[in-house]
Amino acid sequence: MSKIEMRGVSKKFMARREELLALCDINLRVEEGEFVCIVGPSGCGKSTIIRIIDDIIKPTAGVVKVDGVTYDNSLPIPRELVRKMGFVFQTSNLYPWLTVRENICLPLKIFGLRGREWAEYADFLIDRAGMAGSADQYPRSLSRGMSQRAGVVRAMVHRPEILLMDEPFGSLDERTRERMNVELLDIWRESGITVIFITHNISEAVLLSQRAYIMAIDPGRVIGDVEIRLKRRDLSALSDYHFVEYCDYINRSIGSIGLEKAI
Amino acid sequence: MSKNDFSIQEVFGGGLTEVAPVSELRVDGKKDEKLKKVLYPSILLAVLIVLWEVCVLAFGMPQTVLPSPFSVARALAVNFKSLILPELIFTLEIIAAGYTISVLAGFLLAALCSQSRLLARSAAPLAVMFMVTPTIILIPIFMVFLGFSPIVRIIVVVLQCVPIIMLNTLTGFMSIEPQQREMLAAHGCSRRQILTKFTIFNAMPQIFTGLKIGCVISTIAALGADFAMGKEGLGYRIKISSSMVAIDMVFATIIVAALVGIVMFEIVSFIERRVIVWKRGG
Ligand SMILES: Nc1ncnc2c1ncn2[C@@H]1O[C@H](COP(=O)(O)OP(=O)(O)OP(=O)(O)O)[C@@H](O)[C@H]1O
Ligand SMILES: [Mg+2]
Repeated sequence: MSKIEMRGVSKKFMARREELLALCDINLRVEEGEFVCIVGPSGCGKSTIIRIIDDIIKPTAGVVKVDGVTYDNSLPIPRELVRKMGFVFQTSNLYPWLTVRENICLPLKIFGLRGREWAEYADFLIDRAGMAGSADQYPRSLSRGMSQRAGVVRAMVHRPEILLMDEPFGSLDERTRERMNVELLDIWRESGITVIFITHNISEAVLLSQRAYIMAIDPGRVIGDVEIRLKRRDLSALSDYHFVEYCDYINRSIGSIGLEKAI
Repeated sequence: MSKNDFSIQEVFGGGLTEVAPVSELRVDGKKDEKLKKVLYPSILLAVLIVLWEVCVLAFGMPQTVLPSPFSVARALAVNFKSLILPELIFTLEIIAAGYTISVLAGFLLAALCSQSRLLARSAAPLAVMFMVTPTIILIPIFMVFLGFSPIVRIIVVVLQCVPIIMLNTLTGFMSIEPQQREMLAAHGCSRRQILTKFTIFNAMPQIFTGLKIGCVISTIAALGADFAMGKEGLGYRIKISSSMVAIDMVFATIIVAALVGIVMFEIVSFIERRVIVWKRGG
């Protein structure tokens, strides 16, 4: 059984009295413990896919199945299922009125996870991320990389089984992003968590994922998926022959429908 | 921040920034800045007062045209208890009642409007209309019904003050970054949770802006009502002193009236700094 499955999911938006087909017949499968990237040009509906998985917006058609539980247009997501998900957004989305630690522990509050062991686990994660020194400050004093790191810690704090990441490192500089990628891979290997990672950066997708879904725009759809087998997944892979091949392949698949520029 | 660094270098010389930890320097800079904030305007004020005194003496100004600072101070000291204090208490009561009602009503209206786009769209332009109308011009109308009742003055303050508090609070409630809100929505938070965990905090800075402007507006409105209605209040005291050509008393009362607004504003600012702790500091 797949951990996450989308079957025939479509989404229409009404924008200025015009129908916009944001997603058209999306079929995705993500196995337990798998790291999957979704690559595609801006506006192809990547964020919409995540919003449908966490049930903020309803699909026009199709069903989503997570951990064997099905939900769709009429059936809402059960709350226990949301608890199994962690979210990282494009901007760190830390609330300025909470300290870094309070921000990180927010999911614990929302899901009602009180008790020492949760607080201790939060402290452990904060420590591991090297944020112990700034945990009691307000987020405005953090650098962008640090804020995003806090965002990742916040997503992990309630021990989710699924990590949904929407272009989390898109606003970081190249170096910081690479470092965050490597750290993320470490977390993934240690925890065995299932990850859906959205990006429009092809080399980031190849470095991180075991499988990448490639999307196109107008209408937003999946045009294929690539299994990525790299011997090593770290920065040394960036100069690997296979790595370049994969990037090239994805680039060409997207390019073949004339969207290189959008990426 | 760069300005602080600059002043530190200016005072202690450039070498220090390399030796001392940055955090300490910032604290020093802040203290320095705080002192200057009080010191500079005080010095300017003192200079102006001295200049005023000198001018009055040098040009032999008659007390009925421009009293010297000394005679203003004397008028204040001699008449404060007997003539100014009762009026001060009266006007303070009007302001306190008007401001409190305005805060409650402004909040309530903003909360209602934030729940309904239709209501917001209908009410906001009316609020703007009231905000730009000097409500003391309505006094004759209210006096037809209520006579010289202090309620008239309170109404004047409330009508002037509610729109500004309501509009600011509403702006705060409405200025939501969808992304920031989405964070809670993704975790399956209910509307109420989003309101209590996000919307209110998010609106805090704007709410306080409204509360602070409200201090000034309510003082102005109350004094205006005193002028227009007479009989009681600080504004009335200024008017009556003026007609008796007791210009030193006019000045003395003006000072007290100005202090009312300043003190009120500072109290709200103080609370603001206590509440919005996350914006404080370097
Ligand atoms: N609430 C909405 N109402 C109307 N249209 C929407 C809404 N949300 C998204 N869209 C439209 O759906 C399309 C897909 O949006 P989405 O945000 O999923 O794209 P994306 O792939 O995440 O893009 P980006 O890389 O820029 O984040 C876009 O054309 C967008 O304008
Ligand atoms: Mg997006």
